[in-house]
Amino acid sequence: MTRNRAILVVVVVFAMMIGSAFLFRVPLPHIQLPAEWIPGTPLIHIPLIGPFYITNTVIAILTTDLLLLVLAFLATRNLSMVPSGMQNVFEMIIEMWHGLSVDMIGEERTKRWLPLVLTIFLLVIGSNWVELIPGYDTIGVLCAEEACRPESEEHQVRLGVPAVAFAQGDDSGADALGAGDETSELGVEAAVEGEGEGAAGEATLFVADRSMGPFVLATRRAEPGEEGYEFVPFFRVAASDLNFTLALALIVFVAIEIVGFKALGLRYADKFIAVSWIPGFIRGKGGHSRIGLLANGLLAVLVGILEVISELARIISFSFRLFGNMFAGQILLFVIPFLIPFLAVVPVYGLELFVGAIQAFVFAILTLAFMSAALITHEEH
Amino acid sequence: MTPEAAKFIGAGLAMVGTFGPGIGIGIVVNGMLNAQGRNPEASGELFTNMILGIVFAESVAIYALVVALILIFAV
Repeated sequence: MTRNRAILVVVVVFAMMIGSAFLFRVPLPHIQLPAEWIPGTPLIHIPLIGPFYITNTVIAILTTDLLLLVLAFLATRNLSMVPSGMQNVFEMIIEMWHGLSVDMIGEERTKRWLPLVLTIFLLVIGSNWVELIPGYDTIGVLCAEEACRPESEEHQVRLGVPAVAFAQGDDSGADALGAGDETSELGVEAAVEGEGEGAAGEATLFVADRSMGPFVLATRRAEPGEEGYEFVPFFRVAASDLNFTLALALIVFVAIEIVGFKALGLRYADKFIAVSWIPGFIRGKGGHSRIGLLANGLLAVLVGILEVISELARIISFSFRLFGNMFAGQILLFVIPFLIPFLAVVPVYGLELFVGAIQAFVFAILTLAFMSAALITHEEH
Repeated sequence: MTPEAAKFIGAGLAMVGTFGPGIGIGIVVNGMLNAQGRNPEASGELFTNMILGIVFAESVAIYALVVALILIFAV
């Protein structure tokens, strides 16, 4: 009997999934690469650097920071020899990383570099997991076309010295600020209306649906004649902003170079600019032919150039790995409710949870791995 | 062919590059399963190394994905 009931439940769930695809009209969300500016915040011109504006990924990172600080406070409130609760969780994490780090880069260096590795791990896993809270990416602001652009004059804040003006760098495809949301059973959106009307143009415009009381929903895309608004969520996964991942990758790159130089001194630079073979070549080291030494030396120079390229490619690889995983995960989370509104997202949700944790782990452990690789000298003779 | 269409076709072609990493990840996990069969006690450390191997292989797939995304959203 229970087997038949199980089959019945499965069939009913599938029917609901397929039925919801016809019943619920979930709009196809607007997905864009650059993070969206929060309307209303000022555009600050920093002298010599250029314009800077508050995006929704910045707010997401700030909330992640706040969350981590609160957790840390809770963990260290009543420190006891036998840990329990939040202290236990943090001790587990720290113990795991301490063990890995001592294996890879040694006791001394662990004291110096473990805080960096742990910070990267906690920050990335925090910002990846906090994305999964319902309300992320779905609660935001509906703003009319003009109010969505950070360049409009009323928002400018100029600091002191006239700024170097960088081109905003937006291509025509990316000047539509906005992201979609879904009216699945997971969330409703609270939105604020901007003034003016939206033009059809390149932007993805949603119709402001006010049928649900104090909440304004964006339930469908605007037809070309209708008045539509762009949707800007308040929060967006920090790692889906290439700025964040690139910043982390650059910090890690600098840290790895520092580890290399501290451990090997100037012989570390010899890995890239191979000059250590020249004294041996000039003196004519006993037992090796001059031509042989020259050939080996030139080979070392070529390998050095390749090593430089591979070091720089590491920055790209670090940043794009995290960015690609999180951005693609976000797209999945947006698009699947558009296809099947009911329940189909749940496996993807689980995948996002897993991938978020794994990517944080991988970022930190690759830091350790490359640091340990930087300690190795290649002795030839 | 409009540029729009070429964009999307290009994005689709870029994703052909995920072939290799898929096979690569399969090979890594194959090695892991063999090693686990021979020595189940070392599972923990082997798992860590396997995750590292998978991530390296997956990054190449991510490069292909990034090219596709750039074609769709930023060109």
